[in-house]
Amino acid sequence: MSTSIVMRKRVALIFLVMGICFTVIIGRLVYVQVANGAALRKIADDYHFRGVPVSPKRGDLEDRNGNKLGISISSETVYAIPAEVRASGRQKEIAKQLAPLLGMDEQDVVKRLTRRSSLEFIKKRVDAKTAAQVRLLNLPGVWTTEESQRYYPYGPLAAHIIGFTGVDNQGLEGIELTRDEELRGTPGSILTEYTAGGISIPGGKNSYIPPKQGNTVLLTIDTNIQGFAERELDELMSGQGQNLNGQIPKSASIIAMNPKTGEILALASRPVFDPNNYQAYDASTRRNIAVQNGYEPGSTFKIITLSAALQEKKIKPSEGFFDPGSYTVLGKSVRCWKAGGHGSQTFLQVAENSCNPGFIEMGQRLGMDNFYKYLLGFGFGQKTGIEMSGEAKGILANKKRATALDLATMSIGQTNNVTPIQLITAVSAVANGGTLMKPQLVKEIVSPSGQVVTPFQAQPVRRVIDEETARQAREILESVVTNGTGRRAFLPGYRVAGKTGTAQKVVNGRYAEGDYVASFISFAPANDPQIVVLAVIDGVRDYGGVVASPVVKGVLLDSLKYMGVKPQDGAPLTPKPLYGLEVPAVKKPVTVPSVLGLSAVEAEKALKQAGLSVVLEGQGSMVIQTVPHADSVVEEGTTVFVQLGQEGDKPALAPAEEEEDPDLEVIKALNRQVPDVLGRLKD
Amino acid sequence: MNGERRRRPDYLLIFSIVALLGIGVVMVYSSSAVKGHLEFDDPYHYLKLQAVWAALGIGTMLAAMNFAYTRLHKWAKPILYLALVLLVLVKIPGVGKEVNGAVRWIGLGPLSLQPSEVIKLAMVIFLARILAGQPEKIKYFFRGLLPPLGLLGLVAVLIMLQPDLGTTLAIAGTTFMMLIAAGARWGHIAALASAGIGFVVAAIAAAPYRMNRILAYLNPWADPSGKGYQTIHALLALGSGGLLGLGFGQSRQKFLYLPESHTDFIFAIIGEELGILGASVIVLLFVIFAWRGYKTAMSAPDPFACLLAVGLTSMVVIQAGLNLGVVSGLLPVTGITLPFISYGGSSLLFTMAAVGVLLNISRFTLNK
Repeated sequence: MSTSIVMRKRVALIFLVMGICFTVIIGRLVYVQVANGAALRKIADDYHFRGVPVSPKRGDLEDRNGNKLGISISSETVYAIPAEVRASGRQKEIAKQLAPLLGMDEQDVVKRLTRRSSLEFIKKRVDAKTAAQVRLLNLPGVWTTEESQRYYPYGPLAAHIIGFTGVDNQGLEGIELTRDEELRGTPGSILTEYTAGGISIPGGKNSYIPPKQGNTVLLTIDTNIQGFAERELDELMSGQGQNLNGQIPKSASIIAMNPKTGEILALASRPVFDPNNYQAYDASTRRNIAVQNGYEPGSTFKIITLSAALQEKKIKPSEGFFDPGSYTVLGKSVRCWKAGGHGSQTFLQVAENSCNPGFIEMGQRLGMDNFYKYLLGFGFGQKTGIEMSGEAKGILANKKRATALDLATMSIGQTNNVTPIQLITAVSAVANGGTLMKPQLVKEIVSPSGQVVTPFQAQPVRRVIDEETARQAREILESVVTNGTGRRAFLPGYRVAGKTGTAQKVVNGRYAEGDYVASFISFAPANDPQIVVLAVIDGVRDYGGVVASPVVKGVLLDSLKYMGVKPQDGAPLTPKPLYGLEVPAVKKPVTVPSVLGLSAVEAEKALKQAGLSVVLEGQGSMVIQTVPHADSVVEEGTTVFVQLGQEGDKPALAPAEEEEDPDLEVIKALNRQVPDVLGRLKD
Repeated sequence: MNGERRRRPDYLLIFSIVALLGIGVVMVYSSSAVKGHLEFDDPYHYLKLQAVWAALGIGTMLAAMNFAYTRLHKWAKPILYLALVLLVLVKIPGVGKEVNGAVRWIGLGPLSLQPSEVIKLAMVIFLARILAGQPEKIKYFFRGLLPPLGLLGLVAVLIMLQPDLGTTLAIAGTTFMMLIAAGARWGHIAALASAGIGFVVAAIAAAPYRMNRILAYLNPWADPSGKGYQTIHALLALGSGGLLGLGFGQSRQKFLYLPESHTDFIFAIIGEELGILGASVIVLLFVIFAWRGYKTAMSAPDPFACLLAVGLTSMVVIQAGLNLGVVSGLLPVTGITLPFISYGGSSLLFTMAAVGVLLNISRFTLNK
């Protein structure tokens, strides 16, 4: 008996059905393994691999010439993979060996070793030697990885600009914060294969994804110019400031700017901190007063009034103005600082003399609308946009409520509150031919491979005055230094322009007596300015010209020499009038010989021989001081004051007859109440 | 029965069996090395055991090839009774051993025995006998179909008590194939298929864990660390393998990510290490096995041998299809091993015995 036909047919059919089933399975395998294989493998790898992050090296901070201001040095981090530690079962023993080496509490180490995480940092910023010892112990589940740590080779130099970073190398302040993204780079990782139980697979694959290093940020700062500024500030803050008689100011700041591009060449403030160890300093030292503090600019602001009046053709430099000694506005008389007034002058001389009635006249001629147009045009009352956090806007008197008296005081730099960075930016506009530039701190950004990622681009904000106005204003300001109140900043051989300023401070809602903000702003060469320098010194008993100009002079002279700006042909060697006035015949320059210690007769003889006239002062057997000092270059026939005294006598202070300060006189004359605008608005 | 001289067995069938067995032993080693290392501090632990079982399996197969298979006709009833007794015994506390929440084993000293393996063989032999005995009865529902279905129902209930859905499905599928081969009416078959689907639905509804498996099957990614875990990790293993695989021994999923990597899910590891190429070879070997198995049935000398061959072939092929379907995510997780390949001693022995009988029949085929 054999199998039936039906049976055989049915069996063939069964095989066919089974064949179809297996074909479907093959199709499914193609779908899973070939079509979706790559995607599934990626998911599988996510399960298998665990990454230890590798920090990228933070990009350097450099000055405009590539000097390293902030660098990353490597430090080690000790971390644990708790699953491996648990697998070894030696938590206690591991902690016991690790704790003393890392200077940590044993319980704390145990806690970290056994925490339920795939990776736990035990200690960061471990030195190389300790890390090597940890590796030598060969403890299961304990590993080290290299990280970078920030170091600032110049210490406090430019600290307020640079800022600093935190434990995780994240920028916390300054450019470190504002350019954190550029500097940070992208972390890489070491991927290791793990079993589902959390133990690394022996002989498993390791893959290393290298971190992407951060970019280098080049600042516009020049370390040398910054150094000059820091040096002057250090002298000030150590009681060695000129004409301060040992007094130490509360705070001070110096800004140097390239007026043509808006690049900040130096920006330094005191008090200061060391970014390498910022925690050791009071938080108040981190305040960047050059950007965050407002003050009344005083006479330095007259540059703005002057420029506006020239632009609006309200005055001509040669136009006459009679100063009777005071200016009466709304029944209130504003005295000139010079008793009895300057009498008949040109507006050029008004500027040279910083004659208050003359500047008030300019303000009144401009009128409220025009004055505010230039006030805002020069950028006051607004942030300059400098790349520093917490920039102050300054405070302007409310235009709607401002009176003619307010206009008068504003014209001479009182009442309004401005920041140092606003003032130097505005004066730079005058210096560069009339365009307000955005002040910038970052020159360019360079990738690790040396490619410039972001090149520098000067950012003009707006044109405020035209070229011709700017040229006139510069020449007048040059005359202020050569022949006027700014002569303490006179640099022989250079054409320097500048203006002093003194402001009274508001303390407890009242103007404080004998506590001034002294400032000086200056640029050179006056015909083609390369650098503008502003010094603002807070908390001094004396006034701007006396205290702040030597500071600016120190920075300016060294910077000009460093920048390779040659002394100019035809530049005066002694302060003298320049502009449109009766110019005396040029006399021979003479160097004052040293006569210290000589008797009166001998000294007189030597000085007369040099072609100088002599005035003897005081009693005594020997010369203890001369004004001008020995080695000064003066014109032939200049009078030298010779002070006589006994050995050991202190030289008397320089005669202060010409040092009266226009701002101070106004302050004293007005005996003002604090305008309510200042009381209401807080900065 | 008809006294014909024995011929050479079907070599292609032997080739597919030995190839699958060989690949199985090697892959059991690869997939169990991590587990062996962790549990017994010996990566070769499962390899050694499987090699011994494979050797015993070859011996069993040779023995099953070389006796008069016609004797099975006589032994059909006693074997069935023995199997049913064992199925009942396994439920008696103290006799049955619990593994992973299911009681499927009877311990005999160091060895253990799965009564469900015995009943698979016993069912095939018994059904072949009764279906071949009166070929005309199959046309009638009550006289022809009901007795085998009643037996299937009884066996299914006993196995589901363990519980073991995978084996139940394999036995049910095998029974159906034998009924179809025996010439049952298509109308009856369709009705039975509907009833079968109803049974499966009821079985799923009865146990919450099965419902979870269905949900995990429909969308394994909804709960990747819970219900969908096994399916996902099987798919991840297969996907990682891609075209050519990660290379022998290079599986990552076997590092405890994929549970049962050397038993139910060994095919995923094969796919991971050997790629779709290796996986396809396995599928192809099962297709060859099916082809030669059903070919043997078609050329069998008598209806009993034919139905026996259909049953034995179907049992292996259905089980393989179920396993591959589960591992590749086509079917919900049922908990069934891959014949010849998965680690497991007693089930391998019974599978080898079954294919031994199949080869035995192939020696008596007609028209050869």
